[in-house]
Amino acid sequence: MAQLARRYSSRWCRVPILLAASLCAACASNPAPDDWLPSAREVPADPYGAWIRITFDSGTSRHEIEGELLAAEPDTVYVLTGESVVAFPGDAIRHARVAWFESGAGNLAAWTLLGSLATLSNGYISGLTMPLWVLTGSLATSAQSRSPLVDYRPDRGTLLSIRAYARFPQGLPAGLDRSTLLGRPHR
Amino acid sequence: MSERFALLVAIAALFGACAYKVERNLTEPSRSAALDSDSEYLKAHMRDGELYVLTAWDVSDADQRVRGQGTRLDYHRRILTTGPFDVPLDSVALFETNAARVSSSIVPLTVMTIGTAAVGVYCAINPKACFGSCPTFYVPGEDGQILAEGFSASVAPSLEDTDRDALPSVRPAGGVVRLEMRNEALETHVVRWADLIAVPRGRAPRVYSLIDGTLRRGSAPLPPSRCVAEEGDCRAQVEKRDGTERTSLADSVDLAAREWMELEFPIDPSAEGRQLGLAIGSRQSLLPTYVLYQGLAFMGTRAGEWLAALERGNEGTRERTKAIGRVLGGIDVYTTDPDGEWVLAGSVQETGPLGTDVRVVPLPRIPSGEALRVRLRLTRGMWRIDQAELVVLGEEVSPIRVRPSLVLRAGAADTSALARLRSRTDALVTLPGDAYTLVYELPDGHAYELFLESRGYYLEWMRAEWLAEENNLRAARMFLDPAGSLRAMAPEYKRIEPEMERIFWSSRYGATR
Repeated sequence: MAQLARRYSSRWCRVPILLAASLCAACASNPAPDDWLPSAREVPADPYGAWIRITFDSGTSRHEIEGELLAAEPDTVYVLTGESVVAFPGDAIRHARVAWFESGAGNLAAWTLLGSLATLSNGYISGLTMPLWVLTGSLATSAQSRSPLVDYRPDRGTLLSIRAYARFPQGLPAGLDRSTLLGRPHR
Repeated sequence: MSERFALLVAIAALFGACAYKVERNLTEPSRSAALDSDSEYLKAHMRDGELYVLTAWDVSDADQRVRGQGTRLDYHRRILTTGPFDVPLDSVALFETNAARVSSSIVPLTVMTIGTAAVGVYCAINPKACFGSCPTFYVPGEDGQILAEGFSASVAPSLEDTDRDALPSVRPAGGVVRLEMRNEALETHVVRWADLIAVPRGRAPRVYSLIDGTLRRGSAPLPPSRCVAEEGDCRAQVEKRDGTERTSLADSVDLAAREWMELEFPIDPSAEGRQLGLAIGSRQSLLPTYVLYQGLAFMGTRAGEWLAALERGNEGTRERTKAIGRVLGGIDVYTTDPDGEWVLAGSVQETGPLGTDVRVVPLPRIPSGEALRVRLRLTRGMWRIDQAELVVLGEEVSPIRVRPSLVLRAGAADTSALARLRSRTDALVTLPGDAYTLVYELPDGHAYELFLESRGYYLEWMRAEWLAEENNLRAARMFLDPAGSLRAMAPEYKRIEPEMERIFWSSRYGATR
């Protein structure tokens, strides 16, 4: 029995581990906190901006700020970080990633996992169908995980490319009290 | 099966329904004609930072108004009012529409799901046709026939048994024989040993394994001059061991119904007065596999209890377990006695549908100058006979037992597996997909006839599809009234018999060969 148990742990457990590793490796990282982003179906009625993570260099080290994207103007990005509004100069940005809805890639990963495990009932054909599932599923999951992401790099575009995902795509309104602006309530 | 397919599709739809992509468009009020009218929601971003989220919206160029039902929010995104709104266009900074559509990422996964379900249907529509039956042995690296299958009848620990299979096509290379042992079914195999039995041929062309287990030297096989069965001439199928098999279909009323074949051999004068034997190269059809799986299906969720009862039982219990096998029977060989009456010479009982094995039935000595007539009585649709030839038997010989000297797994030495296979008390346990290469070193100085002797038992894995047929009364009937059970199973077996072979081989577990 011990022999059997060892065999199970060493071989059968490898399948889901490899699958999970494959799927994790395929996914693009989403900077938004858990449960912060709206689902794709909530987006059309959602009044808030996307989540943005800005990477910038300061001295010899690299830093990040992140929060709700309020507005993007040709030379400035406005971000609501916690309770304060940060006006971040465009020329200091090294890279920015905007995430504007929950991708649902986890569902495709789960679908891939179930499909791959279902091939265990395929007899010897599983030697073909399981790798095909892992490959196809990883590509599909990867593509889906990238669908809500918009990347900005100074050498590849302007800040206006991300303004559509801001709370105020028209630009920061005149007279807005930056010190009291409220963010998305906890969901 | 349709339920399983529906479930898989439903799960796919569920996951797929959660994978969307969204297209967002910003439109200046001056270009309101370009707004996506299919968008359910329209967001109007106001110059002061307020936002209207509207449904049932309409933008009128004529009177420069936007109307709709919805919500007005301040720049904090707190709701100010809800209801119908009528807003002048010149107060709007930008319109925003979003269209959420099911993501194209699900297309390849949908295709895969349908494909997987189809493959699942392929096997599961007839789960009792799926591949099974004990360890299989191959020549490593060669795509070809299964050389042997070990202890096929040993479906429980208490039925552990020793099996010997001839390996006529195995050729040692430099005194070394390599065999690949695989577990290709949803089964747990407990292999006590897998030894090579090497028999020096001496000056004899061959060495044969007789039905009583003895090994005797013998002549080269002589083909029949005549072979007749119900379908007519069957000589071409049985005249030599070439993979061309004589088969038949099962009876539609009784799975144990018998049929006859008749063979005739010319007797060479040099063979007169010597011991003759009929060498039968055969394997079973999938009929016994079906019966075994049907029995497990009838046991259903209580299969474990049935098998435990078998383990606790006495010899009588074990004999009852074998009763249905006795009713199905073997290949009975008849010859005529001096009075011309047909008498039973012996029976071949090789179990398993995978590897063809050769067994010799010794025949009574016959008067000189006569042709030898032999009849085979066998269960319809249960046997595949590749060879039915006459051999002249010589002296009995003592074999040399050769245990594996090396066991490889995935190309690396597996000392633990080797120790288990060399021990007589321990056993190697294998699971679906496992493959081991067993290396044997033959003693120098002889040309050997080789046999494989394996001992152990195996446990079938219950399949979900089988549980639907749980019927403990019918399970009990298989032990108490095996003949009646085989009659009751006949219609169902006949329904799937034409497809059994294709499904069986397609459901083999593990790497393709």
